Amino acid sequence: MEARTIERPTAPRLLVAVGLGAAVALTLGIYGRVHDPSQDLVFTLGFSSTIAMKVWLASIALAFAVVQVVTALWVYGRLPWESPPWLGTVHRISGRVAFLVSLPVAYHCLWSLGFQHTSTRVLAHSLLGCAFYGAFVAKVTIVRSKGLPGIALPLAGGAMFAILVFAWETSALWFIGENGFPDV
Amino acid sequence: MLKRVDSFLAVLSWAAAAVLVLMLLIGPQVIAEDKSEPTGGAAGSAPSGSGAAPAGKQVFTDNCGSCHTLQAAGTNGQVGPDLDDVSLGAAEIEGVVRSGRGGMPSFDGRLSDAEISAVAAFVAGQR
Repeated sequence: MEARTIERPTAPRLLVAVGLGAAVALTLGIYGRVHDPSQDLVFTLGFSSTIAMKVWLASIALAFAVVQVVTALWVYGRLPWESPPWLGTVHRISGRVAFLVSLPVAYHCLWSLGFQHTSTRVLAHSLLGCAFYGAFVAKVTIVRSKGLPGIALPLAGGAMFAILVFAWETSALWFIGENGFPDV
Repeated sequence: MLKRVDSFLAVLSWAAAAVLVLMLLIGPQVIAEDKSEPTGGAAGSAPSGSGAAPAGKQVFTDNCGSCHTLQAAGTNGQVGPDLDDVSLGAAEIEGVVRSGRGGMPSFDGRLSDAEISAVAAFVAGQR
């Protein structure tokens, strides 16, 4: 007896993932724009200052994101070595840690500063910061959806990584270039 | 072992995201309540290193107002640029406060890190 497979259309599910991501990015942007920035410190998590906390945590998030990309390439067989069985777990852990350490940075940006457009760099960073969490939601939705085209996940992951790199460049890297690496 | 760490982080990251959303949603109400309370002279008088977050406005009026005009702080100093006409982000302002610029001295060491961050956030928030 021949097993029948029911092919479900993938386009609507891809659209749902992208739509959810866009909704999250838009919501964050609107929140940052309409809410009254507190203008005060919230927390430093043991760092010497808020800006030091943000520069360090953003850089740590980027480092774990690099681990995510490398392990993803390895899992997908794009690296010359055979992938060990634990690699998938390491890939997931690196992603979770990157997301976790990015949260205090995002909180301070949204809560204390809001969505700003005082210069091209600041506007770009505001847009990229919102887009990062939108891309995160889209990627997680794609991970949890079955039967999507194989290219969807690498595309979503790649987009998310690129957005994080640009968001980091327009904030932490800029700050390091102007003022040097802040003390912990 | 790795799988346990992964499972723990999965729960932790979603919980942290939920807490962050809650803080973002509840926060504005808390701030509105703070702003409506009479200051009683306590606002901004927290000494450096006391653990309390310094108020950016108070740090500004105490240290910057004699040189800079800023309507929101009620200052009208004429030595440095009129900050009502300056558009800089908090990080840029923090850099200037730390390093100084032109005739403006560095405040690194004169103000605590917390005070510098607070005053930068305050000035940037006036845009």
